[in-house]
Amino acid sequence: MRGQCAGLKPTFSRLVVSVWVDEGVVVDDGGFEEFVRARSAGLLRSAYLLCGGDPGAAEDLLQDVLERMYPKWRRISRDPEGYARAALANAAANRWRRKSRRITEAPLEAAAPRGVAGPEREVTDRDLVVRALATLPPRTRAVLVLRFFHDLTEAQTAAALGCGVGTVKSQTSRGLARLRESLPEQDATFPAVLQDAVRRG
Amino acid sequence: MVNTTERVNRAMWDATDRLRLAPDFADRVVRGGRRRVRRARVQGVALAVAVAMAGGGATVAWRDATAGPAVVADYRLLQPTGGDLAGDARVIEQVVRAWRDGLRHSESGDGAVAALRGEPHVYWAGTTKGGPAAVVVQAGARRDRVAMAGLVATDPVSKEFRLVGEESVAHGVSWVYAFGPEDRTLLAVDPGVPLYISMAPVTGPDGKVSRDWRRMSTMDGVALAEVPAGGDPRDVRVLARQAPPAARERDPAGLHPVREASQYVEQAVARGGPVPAYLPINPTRADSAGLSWENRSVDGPTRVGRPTQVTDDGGILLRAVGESGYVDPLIEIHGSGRWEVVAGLPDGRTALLSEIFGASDPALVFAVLLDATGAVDAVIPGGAADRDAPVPVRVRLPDGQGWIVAAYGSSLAYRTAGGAWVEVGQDAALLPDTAAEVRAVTAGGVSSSQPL
Repeated sequence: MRGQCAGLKPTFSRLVVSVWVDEGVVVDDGGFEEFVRARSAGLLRSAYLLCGGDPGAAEDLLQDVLERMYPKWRRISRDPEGYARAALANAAANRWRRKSRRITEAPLEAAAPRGVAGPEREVTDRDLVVRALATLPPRTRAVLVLRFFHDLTEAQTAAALGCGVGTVKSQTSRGLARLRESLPEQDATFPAVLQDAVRRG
Repeated sequence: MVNTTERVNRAMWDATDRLRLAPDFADRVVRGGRRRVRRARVQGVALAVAVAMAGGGATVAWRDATAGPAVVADYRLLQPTGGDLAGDARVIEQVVRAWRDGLRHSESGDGAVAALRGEPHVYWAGTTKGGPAAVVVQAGARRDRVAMAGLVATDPVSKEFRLVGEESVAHGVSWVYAFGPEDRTLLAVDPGVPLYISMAPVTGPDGKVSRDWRRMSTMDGVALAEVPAGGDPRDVRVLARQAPPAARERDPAGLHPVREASQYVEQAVARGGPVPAYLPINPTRADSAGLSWENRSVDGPTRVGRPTQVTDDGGILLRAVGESGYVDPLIEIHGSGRWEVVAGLPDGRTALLSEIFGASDPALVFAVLLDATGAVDAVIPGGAADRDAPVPVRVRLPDGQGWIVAAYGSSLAYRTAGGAWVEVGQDAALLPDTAAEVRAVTAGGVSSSQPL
């Protein structure tokens, strides 16, 4: 059940064209600013995971990707959120060459309790996921984020990253296997979860 | 019961629940986007370079190659106006008026404009092939530092001055402008280090793509150039640094974005500025076209030839093509993910084959040969797919390793000279090097053949 997630991923319509008043000046840039204001928070989540839990790097990455979208805004034919999602994944996987200009911050949940049953277990899961993602190669991380965070199919993930479905399959399998290896005995439940995912992947 | 993928998904969402963007994030993005100059994708067409010099005057004496950017900016603010129109008071007055009028719809934002102090200074005013033009700078709170710079140029239609480019130092200033009819006139402000210009990528006889860099001559503090007929201003790159760039240097340091007047004017209109007589040209190109073979690799790549389990992990094809020299070193390329062929070759190597986008329109087909260890052995350019042919993809491999052909949705066969047709399956195939003709039979039963 993804009830809590579904409401956080509304579709942004490319057909919405914004015209608003900014300091007395009527501005119309085809809805770009409206898109940025409406969707950046959601895209930041993706960037955060792609950056292995570095919020400063995530914001830098997102800003860079969105700025690059502006000049080509009028010709982005498919939904801009999908475009941004793919651009983020590609930027993180292929072109992430520079360190964040910010001081690297600790992941937000670094101090979360671990290995506790009950409601806190999800806190453990999220902590472990972010820490484990940070240990993966960027491209593998991108595949996992697109597959398991954005719920893209293997074909959609392949199209977003410009690779074959076979690559997505293998990266998914290896990525989950690496996650499992990186989490020895820290949480008795999580390796089993990942192991199951590996079998499914 | 929550299944595995749902739990992983939930953990990822939970992990990102407390993220918050900086309050000014959207403003920064929009401003950054507006100032970012997108250099469009380029085609491998060789163009003649025609660099025209600004007329009159000697090279300025104040140029100081050792000075840092801030010091150079001081000079730009304080130096007497250069250029052959420097002494024309009427021109200077019109330029200043156009600067002030243009800043009412500034790309840098009202805050940046409000922070300007003192009077605008015309750094250079001169005659260009795009008409009279002027570089204008203005200080901010620090009176000895440039806070904003821009170009006032002649509207090609109305022949009046208008602001065609402006940048706040806080956001970064490119100091390079394309203006005049179709943005064909280029002006670069002397940065204090050598300027190099490349008009377009050049494809050599070996198919390798390079950049022909020529040093620009500065005079009175600027360098001027003209994009020749047949050239595309969006292919132009300008670079400023001491060492000359290599012909195939990738991601070179010192690259300056070129601010296109047509884009600036178009966006100024969007910001509420007056509709100009200066009609903007189409500033962007359509995405390069590729074969319409959607989702042909959903179950993995199409495997042909000797059995192999090699897959394109980590974008091997994309990276190898990027490093091969067969595409412009100054563009970003990307794959399609639509279709992919993996061929096990007779000599034990493996070939990966697909389309690469971004380097040209239409997209280009490339094959990459991997040795037994998985290392890249060779990159084979296959040119643009022959989209109207019965078999659109036909790439001959070196060393007698045969042909990779692809026609998704069709049954394929080949024959050698004088030989009988040999059926080789669906979608794609590895043919022997002696194959002379290939045949495709569509799902509808239409049979067509073509020579190799």
